[in-house]
Amino acid sequence: MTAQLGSPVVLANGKRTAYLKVGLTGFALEDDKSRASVNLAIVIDRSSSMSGEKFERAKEAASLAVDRLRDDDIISVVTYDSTVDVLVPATRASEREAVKYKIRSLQPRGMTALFGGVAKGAQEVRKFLSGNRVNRIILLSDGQANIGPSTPNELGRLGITLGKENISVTTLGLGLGYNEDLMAQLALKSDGNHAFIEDASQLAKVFDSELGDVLAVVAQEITIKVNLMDGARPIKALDRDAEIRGSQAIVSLNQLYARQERYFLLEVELPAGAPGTSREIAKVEVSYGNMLTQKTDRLFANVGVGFAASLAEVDARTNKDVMVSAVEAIANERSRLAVALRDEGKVEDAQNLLRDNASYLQMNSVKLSSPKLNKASIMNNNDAEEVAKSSWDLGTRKKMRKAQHTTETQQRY
Amino acid sequence: MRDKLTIVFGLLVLVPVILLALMGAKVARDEQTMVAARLESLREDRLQGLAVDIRRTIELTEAELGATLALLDSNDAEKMRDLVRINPMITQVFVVRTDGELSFPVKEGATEAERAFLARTEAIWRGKAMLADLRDADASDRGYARGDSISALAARRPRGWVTWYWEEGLHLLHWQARTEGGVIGVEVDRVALIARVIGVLPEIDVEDGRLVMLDLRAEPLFQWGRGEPKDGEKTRARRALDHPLESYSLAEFPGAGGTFEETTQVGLWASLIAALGMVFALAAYFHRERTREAREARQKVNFVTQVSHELKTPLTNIRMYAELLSEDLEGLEDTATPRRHLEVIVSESQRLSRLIHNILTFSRHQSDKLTLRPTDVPLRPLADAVVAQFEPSFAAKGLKAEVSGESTAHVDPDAVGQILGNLLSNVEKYASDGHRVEVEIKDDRMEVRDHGPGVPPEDLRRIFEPFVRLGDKLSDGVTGTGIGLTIAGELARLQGGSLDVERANPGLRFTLRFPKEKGLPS
Amino acid sequence: MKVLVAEDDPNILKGILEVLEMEGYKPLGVPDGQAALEAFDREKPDFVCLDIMMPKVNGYDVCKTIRAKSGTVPIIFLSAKSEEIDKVLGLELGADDYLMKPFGVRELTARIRAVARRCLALKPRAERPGTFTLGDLEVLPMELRARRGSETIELTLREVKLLETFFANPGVVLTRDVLFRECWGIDHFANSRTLDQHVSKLRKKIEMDANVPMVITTVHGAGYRWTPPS
Repeated sequence: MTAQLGSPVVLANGKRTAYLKVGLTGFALEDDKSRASVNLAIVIDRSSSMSGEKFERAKEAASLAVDRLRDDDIISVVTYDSTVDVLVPATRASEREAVKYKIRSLQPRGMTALFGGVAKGAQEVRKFLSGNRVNRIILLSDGQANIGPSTPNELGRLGITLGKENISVTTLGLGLGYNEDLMAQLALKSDGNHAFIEDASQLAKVFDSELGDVLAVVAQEITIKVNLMDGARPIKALDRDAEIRGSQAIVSLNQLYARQERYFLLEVELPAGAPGTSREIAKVEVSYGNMLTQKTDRLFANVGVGFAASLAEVDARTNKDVMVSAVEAIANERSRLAVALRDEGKVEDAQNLLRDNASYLQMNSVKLSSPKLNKASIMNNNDAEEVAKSSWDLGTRKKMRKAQHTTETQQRY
Repeated sequence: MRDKLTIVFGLLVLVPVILLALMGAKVARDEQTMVAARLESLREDRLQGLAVDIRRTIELTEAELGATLALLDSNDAEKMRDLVRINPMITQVFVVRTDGELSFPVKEGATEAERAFLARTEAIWRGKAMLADLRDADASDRGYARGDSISALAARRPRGWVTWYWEEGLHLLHWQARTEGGVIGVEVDRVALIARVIGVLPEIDVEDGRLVMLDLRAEPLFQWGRGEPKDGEKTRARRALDHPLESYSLAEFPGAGGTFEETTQVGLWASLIAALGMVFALAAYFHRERTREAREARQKVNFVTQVSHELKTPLTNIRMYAELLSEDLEGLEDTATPRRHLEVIVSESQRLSRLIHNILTFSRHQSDKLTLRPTDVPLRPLADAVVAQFEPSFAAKGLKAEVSGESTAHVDPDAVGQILGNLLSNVEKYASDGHRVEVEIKDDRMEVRDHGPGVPPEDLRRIFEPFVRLGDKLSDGVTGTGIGLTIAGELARLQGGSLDVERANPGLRFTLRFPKEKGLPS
Repeated sequence: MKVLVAEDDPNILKGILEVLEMEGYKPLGVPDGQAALEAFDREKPDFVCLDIMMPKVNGYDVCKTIRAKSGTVPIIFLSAKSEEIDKVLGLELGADDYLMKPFGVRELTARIRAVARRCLALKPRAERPGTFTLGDLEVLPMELRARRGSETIELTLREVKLLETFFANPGVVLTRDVLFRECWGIDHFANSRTLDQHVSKLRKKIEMDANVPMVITTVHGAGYRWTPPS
């Protein structure tokens, strides 16, 4: 765990704001045997729009995923169209042949009860729910939800409630017909992954990456508490939901994968201080369930700030890593805003915002020598172009959502 | 006759069939209503079962929440906030003091989420606005103010739900009265609650139509059975869920194609038609059986007619050629013996002819085909002719026949001839010992009297019965078919007269009475 | 007098033809209805005897057809069908008489005689034979009868012909040949037996005592003769 300020040294005299980044990096896993067992529900959309190659690929990918599980992993398969069918109730992965057989015999039909599908999938996962397992739902859909709650808000709330149960939902959107907002919300709020798969042939690879993540969870139920003190005050969390109570900011993450870095950015207001002095302004406490030891671990860190008189000194001490993350986060927020504007039809405003974003990113990429920011800048410029097109809500929007999600959660693929 | 039979049979078939059809239709209708009623009650039971399942899930949730809340210190804000963070159902905890004021969350130091909560529940704390607690028996319209605050409710009950509508939908609060006074409660995320309810809903096989859980806007939340909503479709059954989800309901929609009722109807019609078919078949069979007798009788008559025709041809020849032979003897000498021989041939052929005629008459009488045509007949020549036929055979037996009298009667000459012939034949067979038979023709009757042994009184009636031959027990050489007198009697009756017998001591006297006048039924 | 007889049983047919021949008619026999119709058209008989159950065309249909052609020619049905309805049908079809089998020769001849009388009555006035007397015997050819006093004697056509011949040749000895020629026709083969038979029969009818013939006397070795009373 690292806990650092973006500007560990600030100008003395006068309140300043700084970004506090708490970063967590998952340790490496040696081999498959040592990993925690998995409790996985695969929820597959079999509505009539899925027919054809899409469905075949989906079945293929799901079967491959089943193959990657250990015998003591738990697998369940739920399919939904107008009605929800628990195809394979939660069962040990040692039954993989039977499971794959059932998956193979599916045929598409009917409408889309996405909410119901996920709810039933969650129920299956609950049967073997344990802090010692990685509990996951992988939702694969190509369409809208039209039976059951289907607004992004509602799906987000579903994500929240499942996340609280330590069940993450990874949403894989297939093709150009799905509702990326609700898929993204569901994933975001439950701290799952989200992917936009334009071409069905990509499905297997994505599934594979997802499984890779699932199998590599090293820490679960991660709680980051940042207690600010001594006049420091939390302003807001960047690009993430966090609970701010008074001088405390609390963030929950569902899982951390081996060798993954996840972080939490908090904009804080710093108290004034005399130059040359330093103050401890935050105590960071991280608790998580260690998937290898099956125990709850705690990590502590203190964050202090120094005061300097000159800007040069401030600049010299800038924590580039934190700043890059901060810039990224800010740009991501702005990208979300741009999407909202574009949704309202304010094409020009959206475009301008994106272009501004691009330049902001560009500027900082130079300043912070970050190729990542440069890439992001280019992407924003691209998006600015795409946003003007009428077809933007087919591909571009989904791409943007996916990108936003990835940035926010530090998704690996 | 045949037609009458057919009509009778037609009626015999039609009447029960119509009755059956009427009854069947009524039964079908009753059956249908009964089946429909049963189906409906089954459906209602199904919905009821589901509603109960859902209620149980909610009660379970209530219990869990209750257990959680019971452990909570209403003064520990941190703990309460932590609870929100980790409990999947809860989006906010709240505490109401005994005086009715909200003690948690409070505006000062509230998190963003808490501030939002306060905003949307403001009206509740004031006890005024859109508040619906339907466990309250008086609250008949949903969503309208009762004027009750939660504290007031808590005075009446240990726990409860409060539902209200805000922005995008239904919100729920679950509260519990504290033993130390006041109320503690949680805001339950509707989505979480629905997800949990859906998670435990049973799998139901809906073959026809669909079963749907609907939200307050009648949008489907969950569906069993395939099929998509159609415009203007009506629900087959409906049941609202229990509090606090009473604005939600379960509904069943009918399917597209042939419903169960229709299949029953088809089945009913099919079985009705089958039953009709069977009744027809049975009736046809019986009709055939019945008319078979008639048919067979007809066939028999045809056969007899055919046979008699076949017999008549050789008979004609025998008689004709015998007579021709007789002619050939004309003018020759010493022809007495050959003539006598010829006489026998002729007389026997006549006897054969009479026999055939009798049989024919008998069989025709059996099938009611005998009709007589009376006309005015001088009886003497007729009687003479008949007597002449018997001359040779009489002579052989030493019988002498005498005919006397003369009159004309309105009779069928063939019938009278047959009667007389049969009587004389009997005389020849049974009364030849008397050596005499007298045929007396009177105005209204003809009497044939023999001097034979007669017949015991008790048998006088019996001899007219068919196939009865007196002496068939022991007498040898007694011939006869036993139908001669039967026919004679029938013929006499048929032409409007009668044939009687009485003992004449010695012998018998047969009296053939003629019909009184013209126009009597034959 | 030409008679057409239709009968499918060959024995009966032959028998009837013999009887008719004896009676003095010129019989014509056919074995079925179709032949009957053809013969009727060809020969134009004086009267017709029909069996009913015949092959090809049945008696009823033949009767109908003949009636259509001639309303007067007498028709007799000779049939084994003896139901009343058959008789009625036959008579209603236009037959003059209906004779049921089996019939006796006497019956047949009596009925035919009746029919023959009718035929004679149909003849034009000029052709009708007149009555004549042989001694005390009055002969009525038209009635096929002879009368002596109150006694009525039925005669056959042949017998009438014979008497006519005798009447036409009073006191003449008529040889068998002559008699044959006159009474049977040229195309008949003379059979003395036949003639004797007929004379014998005739005598039985008209003589007071057949063994002592007065009307027609035998001339031994020559023939027969009628001697009118002087």
